[in-house]
Amino acid sequence: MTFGEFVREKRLNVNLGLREFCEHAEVDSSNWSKVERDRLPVTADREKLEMIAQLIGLEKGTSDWHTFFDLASLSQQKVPQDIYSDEEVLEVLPIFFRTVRGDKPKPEELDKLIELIKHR
Amino acid sequence: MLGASVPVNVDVISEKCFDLIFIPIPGMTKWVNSEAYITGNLKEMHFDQLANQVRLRFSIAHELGHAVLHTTQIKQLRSGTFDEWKEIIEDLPDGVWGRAEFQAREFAGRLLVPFEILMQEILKLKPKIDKAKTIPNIEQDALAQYVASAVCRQFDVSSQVIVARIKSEAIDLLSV
Repeated sequence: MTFGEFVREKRLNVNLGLREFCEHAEVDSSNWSKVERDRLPVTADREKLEMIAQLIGLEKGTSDWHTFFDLASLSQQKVPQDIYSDEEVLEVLPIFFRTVRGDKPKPEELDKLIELIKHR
Repeated sequence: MLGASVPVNVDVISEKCFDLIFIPIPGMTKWVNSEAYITGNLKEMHFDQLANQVRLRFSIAHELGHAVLHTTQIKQLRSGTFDEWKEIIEDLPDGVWGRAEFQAREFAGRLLVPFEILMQEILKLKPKIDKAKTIPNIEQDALAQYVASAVCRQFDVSSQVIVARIKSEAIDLLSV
């Protein structure tokens, strides 16, 4: 299990959605989502990590607590992956894509979306 | 239990019960005019974390609706190239698109504003509704607006969503 998988599982065990968790943890949700997908290493700041561990319901000294820090240190050694491949982008392109205007997107918006998804 | 009380935690329902990965896409609303969508592989929820939070909650519930109701269509319409995908989006018949949007919107409304809880909230307002009904020629729409403003915060949705729910459940406020 990776750090991202471990944290996500524990976070959902305490019924914290990504957005709510990031608000409480005072972390950027875009970056944290990458951490949970193992595309970005987690911070090495011990104080911050302890706060996050407590937020997801881990108790000091338990086996889960130690696993959390072991996996965090493995995550910190990873090289960030910035861009998804075309194949990976094709996998996630939406079908029922709704604009705020309430109509179908324009061709230029579809091109821009492909770019945004590559860097998600 | 998830969903047994309001406001319904739609994020946790999506992540925990449907195993959707939540991925913020900064600038999505600005660049592609969309606040949220479910991905073609039905595994990810992409959203703009800077969007209005009440609207975003509804958009997430709406997209969850697509994941629940339109799985077959989404799987059938997936494509192998970027050009093919753009053609599919552009060629999707308005009737199919509009129907799917209506169904997802209805799903979101029912998920975030469950009928039984909405009725409980309306009944709590009965004394005030009765008072409002003494206004000569008061209409259902005006009462719906009043109720919506009074209860929308409990459900963490906009007042328009409550008005739409009252309409879709055909709740006759003049007879409450």
